[in-house]
Amino acid sequence: MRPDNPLKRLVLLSLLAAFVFGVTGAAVAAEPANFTEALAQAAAEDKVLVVDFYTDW
Amino acid sequence: MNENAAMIAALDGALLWKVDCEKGEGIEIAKKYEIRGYPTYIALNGAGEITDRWIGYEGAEKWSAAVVAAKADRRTIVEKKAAFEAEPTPELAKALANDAATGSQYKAAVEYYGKAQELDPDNASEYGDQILMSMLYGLEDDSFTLDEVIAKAQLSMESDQTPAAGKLELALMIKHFAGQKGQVEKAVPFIEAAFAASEGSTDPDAIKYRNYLAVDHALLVEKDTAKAMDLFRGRMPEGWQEDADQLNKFAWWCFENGVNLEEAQKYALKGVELAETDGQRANILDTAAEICNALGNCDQALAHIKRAIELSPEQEYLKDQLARFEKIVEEKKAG
Repeated sequence: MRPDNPLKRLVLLSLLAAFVFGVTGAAVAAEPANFTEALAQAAAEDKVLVVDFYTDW
Repeated sequence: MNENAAMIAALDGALLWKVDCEKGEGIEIAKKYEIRGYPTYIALNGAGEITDRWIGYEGAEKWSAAVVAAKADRRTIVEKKAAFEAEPTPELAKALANDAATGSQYKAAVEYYGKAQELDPDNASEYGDQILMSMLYGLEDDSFTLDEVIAKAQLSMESDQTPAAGKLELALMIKHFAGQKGQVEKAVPFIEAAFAASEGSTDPDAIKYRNYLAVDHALLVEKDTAKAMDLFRGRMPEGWQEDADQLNKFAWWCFENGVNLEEAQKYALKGVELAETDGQRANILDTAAEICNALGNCDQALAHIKRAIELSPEQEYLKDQLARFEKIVEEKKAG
């Protein structure tokens, strides 16, 4: 079976890695433990919740 | 402002939360929000309703701009659609285009990006790129024909505005999708043009993409199979001959390009032996079946695919494959 689309990985992997490991660590001091907490925290602070859906390949 | 600083500034007034879609609660959340590719970003209001979403990471600047736009208009997608109908703006057109593209609604995405282009001609080139990307991905579900996409892609390939790395990336994508459609020859002019445009480029992205495309250049332009094989082997990671997924990758590449099939068959079968899970073994058996079929050994192809179904009965794709191989055998018998 065809391996997962190699092209999408090719284009995105290096940039994604920089993002996941570089930026969010600096930007998020205390990350909510789960989705419910994240929604509640965003609502309480009147912030937009931006969910980054990723996976480790 | 460096890239991190720009992104941190964009996140002022937003809360970023990351979730691995293949672990823990991420599996259910990804299902709920119909995640189709990685990375996908979704902006939500307090009620968990989607206010913005976009797929792919195209650098800090674009990512930060998307977050800023999400903060600036916190209406839901449904509300934004109604607002766009009442009074179109480029911001709404872009948000709705991104939403459509994230949901794999490529025709709608192209229409909205086209509207954004009309409403915001200063950024026509950026929207043009998005239109082309949506058309390329729209090939997968036949939202667009390969010829429609090629006509659009030619404009980008001929444009002085497209950097060498962009032309190489475009050639890679055209090759990928044309190959999927069984019309790989249509990629040849793109590969040639991208190689010519990137000759001597010192841009690291151009060098990286040129290395990737070199295999296709050798195979399809130079028609030098041995050179293509050497280049492809050289790109495989160390120890690949003892790794089931890598063996599958190598075997599939040979099958897809119709080269070196005997050796590919051996590697696929070794991958089957080394596979650690039934699902992985079934996937590699499918590769082995395709190679057997390509070599004219239809009975062995059937045996492989039947074993794959036993190992992974939930995969509908494998059942489609069985029906396909059975049809080939029947047609062969009928003469």
